[in-house]
Amino acid sequence: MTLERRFWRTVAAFGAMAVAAVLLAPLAGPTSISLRRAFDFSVPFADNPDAQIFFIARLPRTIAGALVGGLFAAAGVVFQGLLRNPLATPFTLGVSTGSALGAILAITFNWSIAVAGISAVPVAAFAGSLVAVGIVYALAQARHRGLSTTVLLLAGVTMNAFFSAIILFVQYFASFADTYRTLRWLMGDLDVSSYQPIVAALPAAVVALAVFAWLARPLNLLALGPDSAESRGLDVTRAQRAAFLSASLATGAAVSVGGPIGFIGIIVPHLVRLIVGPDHRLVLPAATLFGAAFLVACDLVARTILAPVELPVGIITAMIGGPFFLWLLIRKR
Amino acid sequence: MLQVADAWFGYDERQPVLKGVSLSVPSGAIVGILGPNGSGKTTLLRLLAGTRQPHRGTVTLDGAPLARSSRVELARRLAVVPQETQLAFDYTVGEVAMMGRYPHLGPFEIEGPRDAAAVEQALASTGTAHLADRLFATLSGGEKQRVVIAAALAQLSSDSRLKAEATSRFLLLDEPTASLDLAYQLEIASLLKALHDERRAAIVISTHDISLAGTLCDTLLLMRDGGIVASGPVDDVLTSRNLQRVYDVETEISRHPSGQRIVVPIRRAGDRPRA
Repeated sequence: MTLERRFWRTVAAFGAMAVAAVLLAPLAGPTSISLRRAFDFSVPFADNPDAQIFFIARLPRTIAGALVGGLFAAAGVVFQGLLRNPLATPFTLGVSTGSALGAILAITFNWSIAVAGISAVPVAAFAGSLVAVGIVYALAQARHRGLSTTVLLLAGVTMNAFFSAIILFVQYFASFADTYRTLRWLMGDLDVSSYQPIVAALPAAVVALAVFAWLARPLNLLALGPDSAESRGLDVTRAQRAAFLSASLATGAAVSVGGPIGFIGIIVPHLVRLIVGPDHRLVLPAATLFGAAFLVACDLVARTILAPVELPVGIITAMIGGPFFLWLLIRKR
Repeated sequence: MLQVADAWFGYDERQPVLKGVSLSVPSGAIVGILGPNGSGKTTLLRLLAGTRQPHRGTVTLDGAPLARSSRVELARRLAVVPQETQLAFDYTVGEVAMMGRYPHLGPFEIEGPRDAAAVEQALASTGTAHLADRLFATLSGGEKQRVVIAAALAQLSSDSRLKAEATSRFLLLDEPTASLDLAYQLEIASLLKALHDERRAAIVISTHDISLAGTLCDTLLLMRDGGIVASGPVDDVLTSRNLQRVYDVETEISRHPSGQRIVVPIRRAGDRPRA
């Protein structure tokens, strides 16, 4: 089968999964609603409780899940390709800890400056991720021709530890209530309750996904190693820069919406590779769509398993992800 | 013609790895580079491939500096086979060979029948067609090396649409037999010979295998400490005196009835002969 046919078949299969998840997930919840009545536009919106619950209460959360899940999964694929390490995640290079620091500063110091109608926490989280990315990038560039992935990895791990230390420092002096809010944010939660944060994250998401589309073939070549990739005609330094910056942008956007939801960026790429093989031109679209469906499904479990208590989705992904990670390590001998 | 003229290069500016190296590879030639570990063989190949630029001196392809061509343009004419290839993910042999087609495609273009034909032919001429659906990681060392050579051939395989492409191509191999056993060493050597006759690509090969270099190549380059000790036709270069200058080893060179040279290392230069 040609690659073109495999591509469309992959997009159709995983796309159907994502669309089904987004349409069906809002139906589940404490009040049962019907999809047919929610989409019955002959009834005025004000008199249609099904439509109100569907479009105002549940759909934003579902769409946030799809966006965040797709971004984390795709960013995971790109980081794994860039670092040539199947165990890399969107959080390996310090992006998430940087954004966590931003969010925690905003919570603790009660920043209320809203930028373009978006509340301070997601803005601070996004800004924090950009700071972390900037530092790690500058370190990996220094004293090296191009981008050294070894230095990138070391710098990322070090920045993770350093930002964690600052977070603990801030937490030590924070009030009980702020610490509680911080902890909840760190668990990762999709309770966005409006379309605002989604719309705000969309430009970054679109830019990142567009770069990912271009990166698909360069990432295949990078799997051969940088020298071989270069001799095949790839501008390795440019591809590595594009991969690092776009995947970091995607991660920052996703964290600003949902917090640092773990394990999506490693579970989904691996499951997808088992199904479609390693070619990034199939893995990237499949992981994006499957990541969307997967996080929406996890969030559905989080909302309903202990209803009326709504668990943060990060707990569910971690509970699935931990054992999955171990299985992966054992399988890879 | 691929030409290096008085090239200086170092990964660290204070430590030059190449100190004024010159080399000409005419189209269709087979050039061997011999020298001890750390003499600059791999670095010289990188300069020839254009993946590194000399700090001083020039590397030119048909008179034009490599630095002035785009990476993609160079990749269509210069292909590299490294010592070893480790993949980060489980690609199949067919997929690895198809990666050679990268410089022939636009940014979002998908490989077409022309590329499939080039890959099929490359796999066939390296005897790896039957492995096409196997995972690359599961192959033996010799099989992997043949597949990487196939990818390089697919990379050099010219685009039949463009008639003006009567230009020469260069296959650069970095110690391709270093980690292989005797049988695979022989196999790779005869494969290279056959490929050279069949495709008329020039070959530049760095190796520690003096007999391989002696039989396969028509020109040899002996390197030591980033400089050239001797270069020229095999018979002129492959002398006991030159080998001692390069390896610090006393050797005796004789001829096997088949015509092949036999190089026998006697002792390290400076060691006392044993009583």
